[in-house]
Amino acid sequence: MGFTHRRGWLILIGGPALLSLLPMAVLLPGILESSSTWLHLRRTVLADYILGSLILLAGAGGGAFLLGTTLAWVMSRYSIPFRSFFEIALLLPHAMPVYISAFGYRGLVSYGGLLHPLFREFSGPGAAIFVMTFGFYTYVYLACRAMLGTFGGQFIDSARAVGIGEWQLFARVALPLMRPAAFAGTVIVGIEVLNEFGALTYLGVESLTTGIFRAWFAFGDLTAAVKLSLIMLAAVALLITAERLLRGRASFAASGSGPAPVSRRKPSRSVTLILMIFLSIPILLGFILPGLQLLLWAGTGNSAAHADRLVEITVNTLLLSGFAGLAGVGAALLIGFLPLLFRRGIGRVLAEAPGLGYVVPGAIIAIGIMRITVPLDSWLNDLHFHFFNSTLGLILTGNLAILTAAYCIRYFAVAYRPIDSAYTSLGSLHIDTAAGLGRSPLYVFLRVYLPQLRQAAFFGGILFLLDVIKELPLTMILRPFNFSTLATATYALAADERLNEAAPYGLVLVAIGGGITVLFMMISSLQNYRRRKQ
Amino acid sequence: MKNSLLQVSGVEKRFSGNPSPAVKDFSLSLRRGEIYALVGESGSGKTTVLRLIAGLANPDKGRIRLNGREVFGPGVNLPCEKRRIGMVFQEAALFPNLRLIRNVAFGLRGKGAEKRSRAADYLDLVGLGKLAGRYPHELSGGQRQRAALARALAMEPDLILMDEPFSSLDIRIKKSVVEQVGEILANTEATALLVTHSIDEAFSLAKHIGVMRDGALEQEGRADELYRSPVSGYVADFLGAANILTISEFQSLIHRGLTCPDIGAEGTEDGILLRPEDILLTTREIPGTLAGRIERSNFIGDRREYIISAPPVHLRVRTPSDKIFPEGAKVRFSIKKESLSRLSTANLH
Repeated sequence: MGFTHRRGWLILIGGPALLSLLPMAVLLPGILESSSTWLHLRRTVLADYILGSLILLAGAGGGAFLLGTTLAWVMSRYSIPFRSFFEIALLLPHAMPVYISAFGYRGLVSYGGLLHPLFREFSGPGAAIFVMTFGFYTYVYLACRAMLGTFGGQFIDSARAVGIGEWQLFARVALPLMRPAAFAGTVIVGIEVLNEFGALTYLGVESLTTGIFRAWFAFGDLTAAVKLSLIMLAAVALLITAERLLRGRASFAASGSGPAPVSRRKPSRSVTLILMIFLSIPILLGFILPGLQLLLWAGTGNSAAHADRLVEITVNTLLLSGFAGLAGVGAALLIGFLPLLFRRGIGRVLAEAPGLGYVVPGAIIAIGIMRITVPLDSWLNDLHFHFFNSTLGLILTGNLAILTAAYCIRYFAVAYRPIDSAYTSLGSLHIDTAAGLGRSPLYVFLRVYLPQLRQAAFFGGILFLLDVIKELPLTMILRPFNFSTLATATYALAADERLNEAAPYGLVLVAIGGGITVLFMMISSLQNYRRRKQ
Repeated sequence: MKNSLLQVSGVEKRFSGNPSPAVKDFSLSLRRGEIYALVGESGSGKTTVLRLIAGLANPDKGRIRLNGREVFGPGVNLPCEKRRIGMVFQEAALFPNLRLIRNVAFGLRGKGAEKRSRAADYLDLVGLGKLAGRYPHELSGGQRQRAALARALAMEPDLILMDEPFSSLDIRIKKSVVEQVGEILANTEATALLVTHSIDEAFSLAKHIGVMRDGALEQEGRADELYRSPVSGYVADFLGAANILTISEFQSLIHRGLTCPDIGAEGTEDGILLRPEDILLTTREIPGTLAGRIERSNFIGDRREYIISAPPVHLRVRTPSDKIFPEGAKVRFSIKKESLSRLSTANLH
């Protein structure tokens, strides 16, 4: 059988695709379980955890929504000097993990810091909301840009034809138009907020996520962690449901002819200046200021002493995320082929299933995986002891392959989206044609589809890589003993207040992420340029 | 039939969520070397029939035999790849990342050089030998379609299936591409089943035509038979412009003095089919003609089409284009002998 038959694909690819839901599924029986830690948590801090998460969700979600939509509108609507600079720079905060930004700000306001004359204190929910807003707005911003870029034009033009002013245009036309995209982006922000762990422990904010970590690392109680994960999963489900309800039937589609981007307007000089300042704020607060602090620390610290360790951990990170990127893209390429092979429902369902991981915070996936690997390890050890009278130790738990699989589950959707849209535009006709020429699905996959998916796979892989490099909670829980990535090293050192030592790791991490972001933007604008020229 | 290459019998196909079957009790038989056109409105099930024969979809019941072996039947379901069928689709479906020569060689087995030379032979056959190194996007629509045909023929399949192969072509080149394809098919003595909604394509390629309606074969036969003696108004309409009158409407024309063959009086609800070219127009008052008024006049190239009103009916009439009557003019019309055919009540539409 194998890949040369449709049924082979169904079993060999569709099977693992469904299996990716297992870490989430194994948590569900946790509803019925209980433990002393859990009872203790419930009596004492559970309400605070939930309240903390709610405040963060509302604050950072609302902040990112406002910032993202207005930035998208300004960038789509007005011609502003240094446009291509802003085009790239506005995405840089995406490369600055909020846990790094948080400890950067702690430095900026501490004694001797750049902002010390202005602020003395950087902690608590307000500070967390601040770094999260300027770290996560890109999700809303990008979604809205795409919306306005594809078919804002026809609505804006017809609104201007009836003669309404610029403010009205934003409030009454652009905002409703962006709303579905903005809500969808805000849901991702919400998930990132629930996912965040490093910044919160650092800023001393209690939330469900920090609770999960405490349950696991401090109490070693998987059951309590599972319980908290379930509450968080319920919150995610609520978020998504709320988004669906708010969006209602407002999934806009362009009526009439092709995409029509918003036509740009050249504002007066003073307005231009104000807009440029406005556009600079998120770049400054979300990237430059915390980045500057890292540079200052790295400059003053005796970083040369730890150079070997830095190189080792950088290589670790690049190898691990590169390997994970290949695995993620490979999975997306194979799984994305299913809807073409099985057109009636089943293929689509199988292909979308692993994407669910993207809306599940990393800590939850990690706990789910532990719930599978820990009992399996103990069973393997029992078996080994039975036959060989010795133990094996943990084989699956804290295994790099398992960690890679976890990344694939968490970020599958990131790699899958561009690949799926490329598949959709190619269509399934080639499969039928090839069948008529006596060729199997595998043959046409390798000879016809893969060569045409190179660009989509590249983009999907880059985005996937970027997320994996920054990933903290999943890595913290599932990494092998004594194995560090730039993210875990930065976090661990910063949490110990060894800020000078932490800075180089954070700096390298941000440099890699920023470099990838800039490269990505440059390549995709080059592609657009080529396409326009054709 | 012993010498039939393709035999489809009693095939039925339902799609989930649709109460009526897409194809029902469908039977068809093609002889070796025959070109058969399956025509019908969109949604009549003709493409589904093609996909069932190709093995791209499975019938719910029925049997399909191809070149002496059963490819679908109780306990038998040969996958598409093994049926030795060549396919040509609407959008040529050339693999965009492969040069023409590689497209044609895609399904061929054997050594590289052999495959290449065979592919080149077939490109020559369709007149594209010089373009072997081009990519599909560097070809015109007609060239792409011929290349797709070459690719299908290179497999030396038992049967070629063509699904609306010309419908994406520019109207200006369509006719010549259809003729070229007809010639190529004739030269290679291929057996082909063509699915199309265009009766012109069916006429120029196929000797035998089957008209599908609501998933069933309404009528099949030689093109001229179908044109002259359709079993229903649907078939009559599909094969060309048609005036369909009820017997009582027709008899009222006769009462008013129109001369025409006797059609009998029984079955007054039945219909009469009059093709537009069977009606003759004149300005002279000849006995046996009837008065009418030109309501509309359209120039359609080599001919002219008129709508004339002759209460209680309107008639569509086609004449050579040098015969000109202005709109609103009074004319007289008559009917050519032996040009009537009768449709029973049940099949008027």
